Amino acid sequence: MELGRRIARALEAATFDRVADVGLANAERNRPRITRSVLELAETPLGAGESALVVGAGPSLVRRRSLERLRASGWAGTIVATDGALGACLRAGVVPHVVVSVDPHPERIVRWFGDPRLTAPSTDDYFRRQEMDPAHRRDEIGANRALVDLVDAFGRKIKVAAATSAAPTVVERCEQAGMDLYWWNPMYDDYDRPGSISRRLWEMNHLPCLNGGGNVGTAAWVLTHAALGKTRVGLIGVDLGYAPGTPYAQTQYYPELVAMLGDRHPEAFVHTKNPVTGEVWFADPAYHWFREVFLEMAAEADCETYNCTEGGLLFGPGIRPAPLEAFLSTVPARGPAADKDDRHG
Amino acid sequence: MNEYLKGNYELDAKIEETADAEDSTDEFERKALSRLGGSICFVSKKKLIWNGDQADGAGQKDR
Repeated sequence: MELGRRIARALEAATFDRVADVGLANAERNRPRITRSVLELAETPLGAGESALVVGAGPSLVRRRSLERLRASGWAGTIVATDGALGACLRAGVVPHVVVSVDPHPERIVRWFGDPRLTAPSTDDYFRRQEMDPAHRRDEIGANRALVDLVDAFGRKIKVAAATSAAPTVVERCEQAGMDLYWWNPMYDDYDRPGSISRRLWEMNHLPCLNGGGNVGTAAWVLTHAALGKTRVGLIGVDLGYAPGTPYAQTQYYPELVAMLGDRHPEAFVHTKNPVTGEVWFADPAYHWFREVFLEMAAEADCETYNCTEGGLLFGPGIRPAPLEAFLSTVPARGPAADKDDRHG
Repeated sequence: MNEYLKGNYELDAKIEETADAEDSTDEFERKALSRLGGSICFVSKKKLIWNGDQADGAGQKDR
């Protein structure tokens, strides 16, 4: 078996090791701020109908101009964005109904909401190096400043589905921007096992536990059908892989793979042909694991899942590939008045 | 392994085999792997949403 696939098989336990302690500590710190459950989100005004579009921050978002096409369509359904895609949405004139945030990292994630405290380039090169939002790579400080202004301007129209694991810096930033927060617990382990952390957490705050699937994009998809009750869910920017030609050095886990494997790090990447586009995309062990998990979950999900990314590595049983416009055409477009009221640009 | 590594001499010092070396390798691998993990857990063969035993959010069975 390839090295990348072998490493991927160990990531279920590795992820627990990575996030459990800090996630639980954040749940305790966030406790005084928790007033609403994510299940209440379904009762609030969202988009029309039973369809929703989940927006991830994968490279297809830029390659396929997915957000510009969504904006032009005047689509009236519900839009659920990952935190990493919020900046791209707002820059494209798309104000999502809901933003999902889960990662407990104490410094990085607040940047997806615009960090008002950032005045000089960070010593952490995460945003300059990685491929998720090219705006941050080109001009870290300028992109952050522009995002602060956008989130301040539109925050009151956006609801946040916040995991209790989210960093307090993110929670403070969302509140400061006027965003309403709706809370949920990440599922950490089997709630039926003795001593389960998930069960203990539920007993502490009585918030639903969501099986997150390893990453915020999958968590947003779970939330959209299992908590919001949407029965037709489209995906854009949920690639779970890197586009052809992406240098390994610009992938998310590159420093960690080099530290772990040295000169053998290229062996950790798994290359796969997309059957729709014919392009060969690639995954690191984490993305490969995310894909395997998504397919396992999709087989059992109470929704139809349409992959409108027009690229990436998410294909297989339970996933229906569809051009974006084909998916959007199933919901009537919004009227010009609603468009003027809720979107900008 | 010990039966193949018999010497024709006796050592003064008593060397005790411990699992420390293996444990530290496992620990190193586990720490290294944890840096490659995701931002949220996945729990195989369980519901996508669980809201306590009585109030079941999505009405799903364990997978």
